[in-house]
Amino acid sequence: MNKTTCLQRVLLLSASPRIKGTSVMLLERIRKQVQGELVHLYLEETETILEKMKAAETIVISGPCYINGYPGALQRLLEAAHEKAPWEGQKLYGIINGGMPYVHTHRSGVDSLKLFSSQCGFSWMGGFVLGGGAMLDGGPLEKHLSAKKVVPAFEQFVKCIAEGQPSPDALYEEAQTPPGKVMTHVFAGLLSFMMSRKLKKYAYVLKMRRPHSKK
Amino acid sequence: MVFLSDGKEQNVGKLLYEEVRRRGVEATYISLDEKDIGPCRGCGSCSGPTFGKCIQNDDMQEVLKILSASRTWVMVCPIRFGNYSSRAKMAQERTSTLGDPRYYVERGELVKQMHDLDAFFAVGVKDHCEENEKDVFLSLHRENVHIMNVNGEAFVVPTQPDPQSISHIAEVLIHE
Ligand SMILES: Cc1cc2nc3c(=O)[nH]c(=O)nc-3n(C[C@H](O)[C@H](O)[C@H](O)COP(=O)(O)O)c2cc1C
Repeated sequence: MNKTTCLQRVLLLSASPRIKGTSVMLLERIRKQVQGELVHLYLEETETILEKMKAAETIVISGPCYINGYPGALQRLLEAAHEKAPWEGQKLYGIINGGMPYVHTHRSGVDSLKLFSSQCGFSWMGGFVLGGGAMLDGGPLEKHLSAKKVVPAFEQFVKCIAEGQPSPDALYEEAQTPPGKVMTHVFAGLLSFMMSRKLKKYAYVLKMRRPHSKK
Repeated sequence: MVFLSDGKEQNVGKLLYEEVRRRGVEATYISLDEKDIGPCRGCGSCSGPTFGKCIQNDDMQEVLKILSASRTWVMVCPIRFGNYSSRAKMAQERTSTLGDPRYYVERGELVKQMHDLDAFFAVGVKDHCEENEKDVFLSLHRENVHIMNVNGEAFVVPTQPDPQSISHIAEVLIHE
């Protein structure tokens, strides 16, 4: 892609406390094609970030999924940004990544960011939901379980940012296939085994699963 | 039953707490707006070297103690962009410390589980909340109970709810 056609003044905001995590990896990937400043929410003052948001034409927020939405620290920033509304129609894109390999479990994050956008006077340009992002642990997207579909979808998303175009939800919705029945059980067993083994290393032994109470 | 309430701009948490107490249910009210609770730092200590314990030394330590002894949590906070307020959200993410680190399968999907929790309720407070914002809030809560593998319902109420809605919600909380 020709960098000179790219938008100027792009702010790439990481909403993860992990400086080398998956959220940042995705922003670095964007930065290869779109010139922009990468800013870490957890390392900067709120006022500084708000000023950078004011000065930007395009803002891309990338953060982890913490219990089905962006972290509270981002919510705190959005509330502070709301105090300064109305904004000047800055373009806003949102990426959320989480461990679970499903879209529905993470999408409240981007749905909420979209509401924020319309309530504050930004221009919502679209989101990208990435399940199965924890396994990458900041490593390349090519290692994703659905890399074959996820990589081109994400490239398409980056192209939308570069061209200042809206990105449709179908892009990420169609990029991820949830694991089938057998694989789901295999994953549950494997991940639980890995957790138990790790805790054993620290001399913790997990108690039995609590008696099932869900109706 | 524990009420986690961000009560800076709403009184609904207090009203609900008083209502369930009036009905003879034991409950604790935690005023999140009077606590110093920072965001989760994703350090992984609570699922590793200090399993089940958060290493951040702030007011969440005492809140975690209270929460771990309770089987029903009720979050009451203003709705912000279809989400919990940041104060409520930061407290919620810090409760991950009390989660079972293993993975389970529920309705064909991978889920997590809270150690000793039966139900998680959410009461979002906002005047003239539009339908689409309400939907985002309700589906966020639906995803919360699915991933935590617990029961629970969510409600959206105005800052001055009528007494019938308070008593209706209290009724639902008690019968859980
Ligand atoms: C407090 C906390 C809550 C989390 N909640 C979820 C969750 O609800 N669903 C999920 O799939 N992953 C959840 N995760 C896992 C992260 O979303 C996942 O590890 C992600 O890849 C981290 O991104 P990062 O490397 O950019 O920080 C949670 C992690 C933490 C620390």
